[in-house]
Amino acid sequence: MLEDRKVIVIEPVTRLEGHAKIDVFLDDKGNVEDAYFQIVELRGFEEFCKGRPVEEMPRLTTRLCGVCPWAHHIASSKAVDDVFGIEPPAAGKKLRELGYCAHFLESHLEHIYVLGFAPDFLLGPKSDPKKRNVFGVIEKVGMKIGKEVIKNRAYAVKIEEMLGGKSTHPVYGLPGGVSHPLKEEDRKEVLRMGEALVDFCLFTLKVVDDYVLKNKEYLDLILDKDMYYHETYYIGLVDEKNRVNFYEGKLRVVDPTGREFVKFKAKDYLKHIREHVEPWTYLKFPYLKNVGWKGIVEGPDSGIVRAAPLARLNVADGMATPKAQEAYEKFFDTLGGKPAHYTLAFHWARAVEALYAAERVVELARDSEITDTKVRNIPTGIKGEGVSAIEAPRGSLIHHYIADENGLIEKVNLIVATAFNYGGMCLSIGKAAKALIKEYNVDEGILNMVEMAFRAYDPCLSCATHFLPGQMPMQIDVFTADGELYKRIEREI
Amino acid sequence: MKKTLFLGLGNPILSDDAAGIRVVKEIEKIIGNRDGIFFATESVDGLRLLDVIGGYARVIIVDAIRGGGKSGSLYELSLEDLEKTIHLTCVHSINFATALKMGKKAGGMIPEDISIYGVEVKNVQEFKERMSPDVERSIPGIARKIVRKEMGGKDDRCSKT
Repeated sequence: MLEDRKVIVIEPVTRLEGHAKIDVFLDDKGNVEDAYFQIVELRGFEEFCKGRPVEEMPRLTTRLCGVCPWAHHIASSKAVDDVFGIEPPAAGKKLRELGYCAHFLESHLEHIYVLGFAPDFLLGPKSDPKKRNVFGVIEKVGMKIGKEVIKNRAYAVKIEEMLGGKSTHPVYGLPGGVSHPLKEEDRKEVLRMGEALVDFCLFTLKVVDDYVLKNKEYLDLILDKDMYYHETYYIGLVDEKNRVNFYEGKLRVVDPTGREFVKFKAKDYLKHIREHVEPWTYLKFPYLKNVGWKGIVEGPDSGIVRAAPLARLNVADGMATPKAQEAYEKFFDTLGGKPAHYTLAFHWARAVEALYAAERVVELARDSEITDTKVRNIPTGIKGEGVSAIEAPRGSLIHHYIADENGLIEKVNLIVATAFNYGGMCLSIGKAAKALIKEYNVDEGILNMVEMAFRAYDPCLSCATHFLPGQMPMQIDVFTADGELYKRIEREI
Repeated sequence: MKKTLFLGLGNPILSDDAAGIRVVKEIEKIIGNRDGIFFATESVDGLRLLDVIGGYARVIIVDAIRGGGKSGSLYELSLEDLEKTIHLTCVHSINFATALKMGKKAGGMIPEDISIYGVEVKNVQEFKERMSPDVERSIPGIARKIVRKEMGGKDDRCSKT
């Protein structure tokens, strides 16, 4: 949103949401002592929900954020099932997953081609920021590919719309299932688009291969341990064979060496996840309770845990679809095995996941149960408390509701995907600040370094603080040891 | 009449953020059913907006704005002014002006004629179904002004930015 502030540098928009303010504090020698990444707040969602019928939550929570409404819709639908103590029939569950895989495709493809990977890697991190945007990408790869991006993104949106009623704010999940079955003619259409999306995702991995992996400079940048590398724990949902799953399974955590630390059901999340509050920011830091909060530090003794595509690949033993499995194997072969701690590898992991999502769309569209007309079990009682965990494009997402005997909400707790990566983002900022600020010399390149790290995580700060969608001006204030403002580096639209 | 869409942007449960949506609902009441005129309310960003506006010849967008003016003021904006509105710049990816350019380059069905209005708001940080009183009071008048401006009439007293 527009704030009263002087704009020093006018540059293209930072391609993120929300509002980031970074304060860097120097010691008396002018080197970095601390760096803080603050996030502003949007108030009152939990309060707003109190007293409302719990079955309204899947529609209300889509309004938390314009970016990942499907993630909240699905997480909420599952938590509401749990409140009523009911499971959807097979077709209901599969249809939810089908719509959700389409959402992953929309989100990941947009990030890969428009928001993060392509501007940073097809054009290059050193390219003119004014040209490091989607038009620069189209100029480089050609309009033909640009049209393919738009066409395939539109396929994903179309599938979301066919199932969800509306592409952006689905009205699909109901307690015990979904609102309508899939017609045979629509199934065929979904299958046709899903097959095209598989081809396009394979092409996308080839783009990663051709433009990044065959470019030594870029590969070295990804593998640079001084800048974009953090040894942390990782969290993600896995199926019964420990393969990546977006819709259901258990949350698996691996330690910085890649060993399983814990695997748990959503309902037990409070035994394993706590949220740390810092006075300088509104967003809480989720951390591993049984490791403990040790501050913004990495390593096996720090409870900071990262989520989202890189984390999901790190926690899993593989992918559940064949082509994505091949891509997964190549990913870890190239990066030197598991776990991969390289932050910029989030982009590549996102492309592997997009392929999985496309293959899963095809699998589900070919599933004989998918057009079954029994898509919902009607609740007959109420359990009162419900918890769900799913994987949002930006990481693990937990919804927890407590309702009274009439099904009216008494308490809501949400741990959103971006919050899991808050600690990781703060680590990245601290590392960039330490590398680029020495003895009072502030390299303005810090803005780009920080931005590249942010974009890899694909954070949605609006959701993280229950904040409204808005532009993301970024401001870095550097303070001396006496607390005086030494330098301000700012980026606006 | 060219195929026309009145599009209200905002979050209906986020206090004044609903202003654009409320104005378009009011406009719908004034205009009623008329051939070739459509109404929609959305909370969407750049590329998703293309999905919404594609296929219309003319689109009139109303969004909330925080420009430091008096709550309930109406502004007529150009595409270059978009950074002042709340949703048209919001983007997980790109802003609306960029999305439009991208859509045109890719040969999409982008409307030739796009008007953008901003309603000055106060509170967009609190989940509530009610707007601030002065924003609430301004809605009927703003709707009438936009109808006069867009559907013909003399009174078009909105501020040009």
